[in-house]
Amino acid sequence: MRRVPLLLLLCGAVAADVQDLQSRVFHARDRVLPALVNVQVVTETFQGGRRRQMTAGGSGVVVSADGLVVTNFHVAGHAKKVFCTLADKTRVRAELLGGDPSTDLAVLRLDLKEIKRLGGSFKVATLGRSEGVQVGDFVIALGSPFGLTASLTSGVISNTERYLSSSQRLPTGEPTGMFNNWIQTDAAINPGNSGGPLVNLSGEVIGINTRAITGDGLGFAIPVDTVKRVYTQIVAHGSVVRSWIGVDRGLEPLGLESEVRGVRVGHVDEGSPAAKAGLRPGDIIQAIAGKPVEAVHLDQIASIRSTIADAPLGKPLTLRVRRGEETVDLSAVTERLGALKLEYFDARRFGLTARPVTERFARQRGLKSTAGVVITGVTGGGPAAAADLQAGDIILKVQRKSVESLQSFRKLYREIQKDMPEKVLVSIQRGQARMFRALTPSKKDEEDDE
Amino acid sequence: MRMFASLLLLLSPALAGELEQSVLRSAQASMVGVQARVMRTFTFGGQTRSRRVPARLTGVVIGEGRILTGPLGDDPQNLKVFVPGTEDGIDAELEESGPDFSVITAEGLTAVPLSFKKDWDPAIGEKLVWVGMLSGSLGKWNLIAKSAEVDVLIKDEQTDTLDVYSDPPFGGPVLVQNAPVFNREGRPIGVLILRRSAAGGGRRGGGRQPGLPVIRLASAFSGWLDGSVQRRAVLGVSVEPLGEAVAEALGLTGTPAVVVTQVTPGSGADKAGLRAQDMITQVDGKPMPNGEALRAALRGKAAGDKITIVYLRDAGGGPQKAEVEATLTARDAQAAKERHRARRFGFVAQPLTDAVRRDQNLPADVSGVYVRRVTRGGPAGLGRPTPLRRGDVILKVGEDPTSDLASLKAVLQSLPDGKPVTLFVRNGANTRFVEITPEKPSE
Repeated sequence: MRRVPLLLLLCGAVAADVQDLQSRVFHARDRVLPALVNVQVVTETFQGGRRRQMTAGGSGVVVSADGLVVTNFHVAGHAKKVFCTLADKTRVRAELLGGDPSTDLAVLRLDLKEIKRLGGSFKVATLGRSEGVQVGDFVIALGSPFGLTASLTSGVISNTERYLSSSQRLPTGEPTGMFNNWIQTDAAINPGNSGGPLVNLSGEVIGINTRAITGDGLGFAIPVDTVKRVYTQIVAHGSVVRSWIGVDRGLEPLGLESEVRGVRVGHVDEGSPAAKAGLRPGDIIQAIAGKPVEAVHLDQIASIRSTIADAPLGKPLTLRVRRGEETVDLSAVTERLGALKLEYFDARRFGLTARPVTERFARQRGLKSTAGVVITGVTGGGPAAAADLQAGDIILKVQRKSVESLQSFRKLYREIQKDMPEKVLVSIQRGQARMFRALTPSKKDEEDDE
Repeated sequence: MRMFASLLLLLSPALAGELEQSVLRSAQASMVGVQARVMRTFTFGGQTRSRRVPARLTGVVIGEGRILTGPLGDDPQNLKVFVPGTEDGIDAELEESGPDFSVITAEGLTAVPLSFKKDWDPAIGEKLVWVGMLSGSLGKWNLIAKSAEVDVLIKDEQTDTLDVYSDPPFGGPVLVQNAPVFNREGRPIGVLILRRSAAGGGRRGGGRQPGLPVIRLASAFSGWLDGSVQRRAVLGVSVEPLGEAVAEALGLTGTPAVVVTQVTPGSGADKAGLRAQDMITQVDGKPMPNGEALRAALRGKAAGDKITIVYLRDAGGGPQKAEVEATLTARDAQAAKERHRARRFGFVAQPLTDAVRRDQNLPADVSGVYVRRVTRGGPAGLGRPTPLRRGDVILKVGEDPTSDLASLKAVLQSLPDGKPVTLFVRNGANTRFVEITPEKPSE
């Protein structure tokens, strides 16, 4: 199905409109291919209880004359080093400006001096609009599937408002997809296509290819309208600033049968701005800051979350709420949504890796505060494993000293390394239980570069 | 269902004997396989570790829905029982656990209780048969049996156990722990326990060898048979033993204690001021090396009884000793067994007991009913994700709070078929609304 336009050509069909389609594909290709980059990164993974360096590859597209490249967060978001190969095969270093795990986007800056020195060149792709894209539009996808550089695949738009479960996570553990829907296409998207452009027949970028579902012809791209907003914020702040009132996780569609229009509140985070404003589960939000909102189906939720996230920070946000037969206006003062990018720490001599207790994690687990660090992995047969520490345990104290954050854990770890006790006493929380564990730190200093 | 063809026999040449045949016939209606994930403590490189592992055991039905089986620890999960020849389990619950036995209950189990002979005098050279349960590679449970002419029998009057010696040995695989043992008259007289051999109990292969066969006589567990023994009162704590490594790190080497990991809100322990990570060293003057010692100290006590607890609390400067008196509270065992089958809605609910509250991470002020099971494809189990899920707590149906099973039942019964109703539920720290349309259950 997806190769219909090309198959027709191969079959020798000579209809004039097919020739026209062919020339438009060539046109689109020529506008975007010189802006395509192959992205190679040296990145860190924290799996199996230890930090490892690895290399990975993906795609990107140049979007400004000063060499800014848009790619995926899952390609470059945790990169330590980035190399980009331009369409003319010039290979240069690039710098990571920042990223946004939620929309899976990252922005890189090419080393322009180096490009000049090497005599390389690139073109800037034109960003189109994803609003107005229609199911059935012909598109091409550009990228480096499985490292096969400058590959072009073609297909049509399969869906413009694809909703994928909001509880998804990136390979590095960050939650993703709360604030956007996806453009679905049957143009072949494979590993390595990530970060490459999805292009319409006018040669405009309409999305950034991000993920695929195992199967045939199920690729998903971040719509370019979202890309533009995120890109602007990353260039300005290095990350995306979002407003939060505490209903992100609790918005529910009302269903077709409902006589009332709006979006139902199923859950309000305890102590959040919305809770303080008096919002309760069962309320139906009908307008946010005067703008009507409505959700009949799950795929309408992300854009409502996004409306809240884009509201001005620290300012009152008016919610028109239907409660039973009444309609009330509530005002919630927005707070900043906590950082989404996760940091990790490899406590090598303990045989474990840890990350901070984020506000989101604390809310989901019903924790009173964000104190402590979460164990993300333990090395097989290592000190943590031998002491029955497990991934998911929260370390609250080390040697009777409170662990407030990842920073304080790192500091305590360094202090302990100085005098190296036989046994290190840790207090953990596992589910609702609190326990003592004692680990014997390994003495070996191998590869300990912390 | 219970076909003789499914019998797996590990019998000596005397297999075809009448005794064995009659024992198998009478035993098979009373046997179940037991499966659960249990906490086991391992000692590894001088460190003690606990880990949840799958366990498969033999169980014998001793009363209506009551089963005697091997050790399951304090908190077995996914506890299920299987009748011979089947692979679909029935949910079960722990009633009491000891160091080498447990009593569990399985509602809806149709099995015939074995009636044990409590006064039996063994004869030298008596022929005995045990009947156990073994699960094959496909997960189906089958009967396994063995008979032997037992040469020497030594009775331990204190523990009501009997050491048996025979050639070939009367032992079997670990799975047959608690297999009922039948005498030459075909009457069950006790259960088989397999003691780890003192000589072969070292690190090398000790665990793999079948243990020494010992028979626990029915008189040792007669209280369980007639239902006179029941755990009536609780303190309201979960505990784990104080391991060597932790004891050393706390400067408490050689102090036997159990460490409190959780305190049930509102329980006697809570009111006495006990907290997680307190280390209980004595209860009523008795040392507390493990959870079994604590349970033994509470056994036979009733709600309202007081106990004296000596504990250590690790304050800033090191462990401080303290003593408190705690009042035991009633165990909500009865509530734990209540169910409401909402057939038109396709789920089964149970009261929100302290145990459920603890497992599901729910604060004391949440009141609702707990969803124990959702029928796949039923009104509550249709779609992906399903509207209702096991582990949900139903807080309201429509506008009506459902604080207990009776109020849930009342409101559900008032709702007509075919009209959607909105339930307000909680799962962990999150709440949500779900819509369910009741329908007449299909036949």
